[in-house]
Amino acid sequence: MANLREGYRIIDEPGPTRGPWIPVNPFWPLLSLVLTGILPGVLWFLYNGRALGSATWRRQALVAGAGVLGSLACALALGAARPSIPASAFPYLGLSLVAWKVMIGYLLHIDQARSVELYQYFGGRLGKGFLLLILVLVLSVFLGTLAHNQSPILGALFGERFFLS
Amino acid sequence: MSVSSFLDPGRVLIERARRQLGHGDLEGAVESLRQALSEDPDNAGAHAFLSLCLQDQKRLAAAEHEARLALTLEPELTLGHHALGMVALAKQDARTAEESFRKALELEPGNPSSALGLARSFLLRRDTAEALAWVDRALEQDPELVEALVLKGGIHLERNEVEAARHLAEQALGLDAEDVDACVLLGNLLLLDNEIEQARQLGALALSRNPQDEGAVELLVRIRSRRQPLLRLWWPYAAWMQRRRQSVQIAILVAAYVSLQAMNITYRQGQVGASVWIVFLLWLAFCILTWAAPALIKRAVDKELRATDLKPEY
Repeated sequence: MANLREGYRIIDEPGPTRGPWIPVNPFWPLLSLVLTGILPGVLWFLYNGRALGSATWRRQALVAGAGVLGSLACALALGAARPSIPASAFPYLGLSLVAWKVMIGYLLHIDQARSVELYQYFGGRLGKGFLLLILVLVLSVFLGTLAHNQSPILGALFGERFFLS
Repeated sequence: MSVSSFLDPGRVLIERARRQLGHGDLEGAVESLRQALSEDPDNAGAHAFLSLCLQDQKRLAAAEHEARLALTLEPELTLGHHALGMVALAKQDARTAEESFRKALELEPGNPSSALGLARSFLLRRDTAEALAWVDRALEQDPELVEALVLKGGIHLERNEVEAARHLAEQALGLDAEDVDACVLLGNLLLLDNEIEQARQLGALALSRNPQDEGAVELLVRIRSRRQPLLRLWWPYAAWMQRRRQSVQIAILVAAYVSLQAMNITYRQGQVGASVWIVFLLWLAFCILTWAAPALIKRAVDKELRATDLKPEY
């Protein structure tokens, strides 16, 4: 990123950007997380945080890790309870997966929204996220199907539909 | 050789930052303090002052870090406790704010700024009587403290004591005709009397002094919303949401999305009832308010500014 100030560094200021792509507005990773599953979303968030040089990247990585583990735990618990739950009620319980992933998404979005403001303040430019979103959606369908064939629990990481179907 | 080269360079830079802040050049003040800290990273005063500037830029995490650094370097630094109290106020943490301002007053009894901070911490707890008592103490120390007059006026306005509030706002503007908070207070009072043009001028003047001032933006949006029904619908929601803690905001957003998904499941299971459509419409309204509104508010403020004589480079 151009124009980083020299001298004393204030803690929330972005560090040097890393990675071959320019970052995007965190709205796009959030949208990908909502439309697919937690894994594609948080991976994009993490890459974006790195590309932004976000000062809170480590915290974001912890939140992302907790998000994926929480989703796995939730899917395991739901999978174990499935035989004893009426078929019509199961999709409603599956909403706990949705609630968890959206909460993680908002936490990461709020964190990165601050980083983006500072990134732009210091002269950084954002890329267009729409095309990358399409790519993530297509990849998620492909990888989600593969993961679902291995185990519905793994499929849950790419979207609830791979778990609930 | 200039006179300033004989002085402590840190002090010179801090003085420069103070002057820049006085002229509304917040970015310049931050850069001067960055320079001061590059030369002397252990300058507690510079850390505390930087904390106050970062708060004005709404960078609360960094502001808190700087205030705590200042207090680590110099635990008895009044400005450090004051800065930490101001961060706590911005984070709506009344307990930490009260503790910090009481500590600052312990170190420097009668400091009017710390007394005002304490008053604000009582306002967070909705204890207006105690808040007024501390504002009066600040005014005893400095009867011409504009900040105190404005805060007292705001408390009177909240109690619907409009005349007292107007008197204080006018007194504050008599002392400093361009004080941002005084302009906003009088603007709100004028709006109550339907004196829209004057209120708009005051809002624009306040925004020209500080483009990030929430009060000034709020005043201009209020003026605009009198003519725009959609904005009138959105504004109370946005103001309500803004006052909530971040965790509550996230809970509301997650609940809204999960409700939509539940509705979707109900629809697919063929149990379509009126309630499903009500949830869907509510969710749609929620989406419009949450995602479309920031663009809407910016347009509204821009229109209000164009309606004033303010120069475009405000």
